[in-house]
Amino acid sequence: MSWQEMIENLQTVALPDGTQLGMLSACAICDLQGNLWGQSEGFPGIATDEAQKLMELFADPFSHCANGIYIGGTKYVYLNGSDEDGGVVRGKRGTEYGLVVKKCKTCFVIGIHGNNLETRQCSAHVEGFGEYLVGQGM
Amino acid sequence: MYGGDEVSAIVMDVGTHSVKAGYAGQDTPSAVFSSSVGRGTGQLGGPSKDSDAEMKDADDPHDMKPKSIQNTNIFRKSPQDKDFFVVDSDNIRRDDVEYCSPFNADGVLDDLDAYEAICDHVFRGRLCVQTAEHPILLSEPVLTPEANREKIVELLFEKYKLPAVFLGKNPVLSCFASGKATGLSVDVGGRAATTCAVHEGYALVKSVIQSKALGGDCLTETTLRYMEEKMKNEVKPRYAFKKKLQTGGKNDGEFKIENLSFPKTSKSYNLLKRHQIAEDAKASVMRLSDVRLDLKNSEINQMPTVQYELPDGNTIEVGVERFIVPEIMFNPAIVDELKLKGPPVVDDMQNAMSLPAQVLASIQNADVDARKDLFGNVILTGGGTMFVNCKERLESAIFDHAPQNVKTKVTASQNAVERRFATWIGGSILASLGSFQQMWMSKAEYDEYGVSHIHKKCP
Repeated sequence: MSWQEMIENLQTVALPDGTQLGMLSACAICDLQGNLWGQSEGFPGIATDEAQKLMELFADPFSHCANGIYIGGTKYVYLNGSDEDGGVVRGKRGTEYGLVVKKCKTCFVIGIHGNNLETRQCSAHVEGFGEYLVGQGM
Repeated sequence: MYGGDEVSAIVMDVGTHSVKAGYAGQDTPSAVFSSSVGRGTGQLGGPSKDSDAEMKDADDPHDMKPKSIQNTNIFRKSPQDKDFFVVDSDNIRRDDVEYCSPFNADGVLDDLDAYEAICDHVFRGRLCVQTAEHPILLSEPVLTPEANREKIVELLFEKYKLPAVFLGKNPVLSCFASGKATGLSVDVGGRAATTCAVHEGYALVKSVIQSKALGGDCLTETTLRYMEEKMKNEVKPRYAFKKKLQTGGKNDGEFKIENLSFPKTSKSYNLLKRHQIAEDAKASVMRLSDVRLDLKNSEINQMPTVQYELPDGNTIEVGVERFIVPEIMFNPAIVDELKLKGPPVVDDMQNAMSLPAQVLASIQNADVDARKDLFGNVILTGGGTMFVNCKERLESAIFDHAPQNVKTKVTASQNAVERRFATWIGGSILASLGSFQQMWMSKAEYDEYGVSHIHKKCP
């Protein structure tokens, strides 16, 4: 399966029983240094230092949580998550936009959603996808 | 998935002081009772008819055979186990029953047997529901460990066959009750005072601060010790005496107190009943002063004393101490002024953070951009904040320490019921929203993905 097909799978959020919930507004899979392996159309990109800060946040959320999460220059308020809490970090920007980053063995799975989804739903979907990748060895 | 109109969800909030339960969509919980559960230690008898009824129910939990109300307070897992007694309106004193809370010392719910007894009492005793028909929304403290959440969800799905479950975090629900999705929730409950920032409906987990020294139970224990030292005798719980009306003679029409002795009553029950009396004293006598309490100020020392009558007829005169006990929330070091003997109620109480300091520390741990909203939306909930002047004191204390151009506002409902049950009310609001109905974790998902799926659905 090519990376582009994977991104398309990632972008459609559905419940485990198949009910379609909606589309993520942007998503991407990149390695732990910020090099993109695949991205959807609206993805704002991720810089190397942003990926670096993400790694630090996963490892020690208490020190870095007040600074928030930056993806492509946009800031998201950090909500919860860390390495211990299942390797997922969640953030929100304003009332509409939310961000979920799942850390797999060698890559990040990033999902950004808009008004059509709840951060919880986006999170369940992105986490499931990330766990599948971990199972594949990535 | 589950139409909010057709089937009412059940909302249950198991707190450290009391359990609140009822249907979603209502504005107050229908069942409120103490969360202490008694555990039988001796060989409890009881007619064999009752124990047969208990055994049958253990096999088939949602079989609604009519039961007399007396049985529903008693819960037995299997014939070999001990009985559990839920402390509801029954003021029955039983021998050899130890009372405990399902929460451990850190405020984490880890006694699943006691929790099961409470659930049984709520579903079959008070609400009388077929649990297979109603989804349930539970509230939980923010720092519940994952293993405990899994055990609770497993219990609900396996034993009660609920169709769907959701675990909501306490601070988020109390914010919803005030109609806000963002705010700093200050919840002074039984075991501890918890401050936590909530942003757009999600709790900022790293901003949680819990303080046992400021909880309602700690202040109640302090009040109890103060009263007992003043009387130089233990407060008599209600079961330990009876009042006899005298007729004829010079004491006609007066009550005479006769002591009753029940040597087999457990110490924990005795403590529980004495606490109930101290709670009443705390609520009626103690009050917060309008400004920071300064004991050297001679005005305070000249305030008239107040009398409080205990159930057994003794009266206590309380002077300036009535201001000292609630002041512990704003200045924990003041507990030394009461000069209580013995070890402190909570370890290192004098050095605990005061409530305004806790609020400021929580805000500091939240995102820099979110802080402005948090200062403007401090939400005060919980039974421990029912002292008069609590909101004004907190507001002025935060105002002194907030950054310059930031507006500080403390929101607190004036209605006593709304403040005590804010978490439950928030759950009731959430469970009846149309947009929430997709969020439940259903039985199908539990069967397919196992119990650890709950962490994804309710992060």
